[in-house]
Amino acid sequence: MTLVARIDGWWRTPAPAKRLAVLRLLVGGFAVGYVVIRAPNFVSYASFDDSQFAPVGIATLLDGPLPGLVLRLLVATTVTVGVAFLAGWRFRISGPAFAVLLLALMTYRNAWGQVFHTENILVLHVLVLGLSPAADALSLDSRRRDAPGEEARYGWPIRLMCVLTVLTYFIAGETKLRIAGLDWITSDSLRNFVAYDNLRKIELGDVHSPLGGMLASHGWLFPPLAVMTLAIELGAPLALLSGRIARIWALLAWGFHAGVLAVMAIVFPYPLLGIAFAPFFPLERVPIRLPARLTRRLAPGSATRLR
Amino acid sequence: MTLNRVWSYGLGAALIVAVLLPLAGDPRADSFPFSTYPMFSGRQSSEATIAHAVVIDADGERSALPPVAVANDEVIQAFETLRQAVRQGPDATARLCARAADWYAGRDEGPASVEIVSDRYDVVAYFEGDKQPIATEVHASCEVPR
Repeated sequence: MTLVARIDGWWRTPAPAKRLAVLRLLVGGFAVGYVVIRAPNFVSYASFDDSQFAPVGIATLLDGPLPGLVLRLLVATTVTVGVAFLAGWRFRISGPAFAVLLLALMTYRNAWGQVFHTENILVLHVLVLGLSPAADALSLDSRRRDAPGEEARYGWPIRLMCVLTVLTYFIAGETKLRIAGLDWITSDSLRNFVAYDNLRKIELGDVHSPLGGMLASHGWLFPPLAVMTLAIELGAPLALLSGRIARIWALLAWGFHAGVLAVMAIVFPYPLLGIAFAPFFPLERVPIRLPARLTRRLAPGSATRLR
Repeated sequence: MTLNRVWSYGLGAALIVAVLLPLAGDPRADSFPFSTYPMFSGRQSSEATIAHAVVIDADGERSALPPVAVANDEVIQAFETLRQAVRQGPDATARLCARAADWYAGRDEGPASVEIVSDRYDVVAYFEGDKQPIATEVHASCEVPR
């Protein structure tokens, strides 16, 4: 087998339509819920001083901040189209449209002097799902027809989601080495970051981590934590080698985010809920029981339980 | 080559290149959604300056105002808003002070004032018990409207 054929076989490994569809439900469900829950935050940018507007990404196309009404419409439209994405209704339109709307909304929220890193993977995953046949099963578009079996066209979007996930972690580790070098491990930087971030939260009247504050006086703890952080980030591409390694890495990466929550009170909801790592798992094997009424509407002739 | 195969490689290559592209630039230059993820990536000294908003009541009691008083519910966004205002100068800190005072006005009826302050701390020493700032600078002060 030639190298090109091997790469093609890896990239386009056949997967069941249901696996991609379950990803659409998980990622889309999270995205819609996130926008609904965070809507007050997204809308709050309408009250910001115009001088604070510092556009990034596609927001650089704007001449200035959006009027408040347009921002509210953007939030409402994103949720509405997101529901269509989630239900797999007219997905050829709702898929790409939701991907673009979510990208626009999240980019705008990051255009006020502070780029958050909590939504990058979510936006990338929705882009991939929105531009792939993710509604060929478990959707309104596919109702009353059996889900297709394993095909390459359902495999490569999942592979792409996995690649994008590991690359974001790898880049985060590489940036640490580029900016601080091995000092990031050997110096007190990580301890100082933990103490600084917690004190900043206290000073700004927000929730901080008492555990992080307590650990800050034990400097010896932080070099091993820094090594573990860099190992998880720089080792992320290894997750592409096999399903077993991927599952071990996903567990470690989840543990990393749980650790960040424990010592810095920083919440990364997408990975903490495990959804960022869902593409690494054979989700079609997870027994999902849809409400009977919905199941009848979607596919009356097919099984209600995913196998 | 089928259309689906072309699409799979085209979209895949475009997104992978876009995600990797920040590696070729300044690691501190952040963007969205394609980022270098530079937060907490540099060298951090144990001394740090933290800008924040405080309310001072009639008894002189000082309390930290929450992030929403100056920005929204995101503490990092509030911190960046304060930092930008301090960088921009007295007009910007006065505007932010007025905004924080307006926010507080609806929550307490007694006389009070708001200050935008920068405190310099030894952040590790703080958690070891030395909670006094090394230096303090008041950028703006304003009365809470009644």
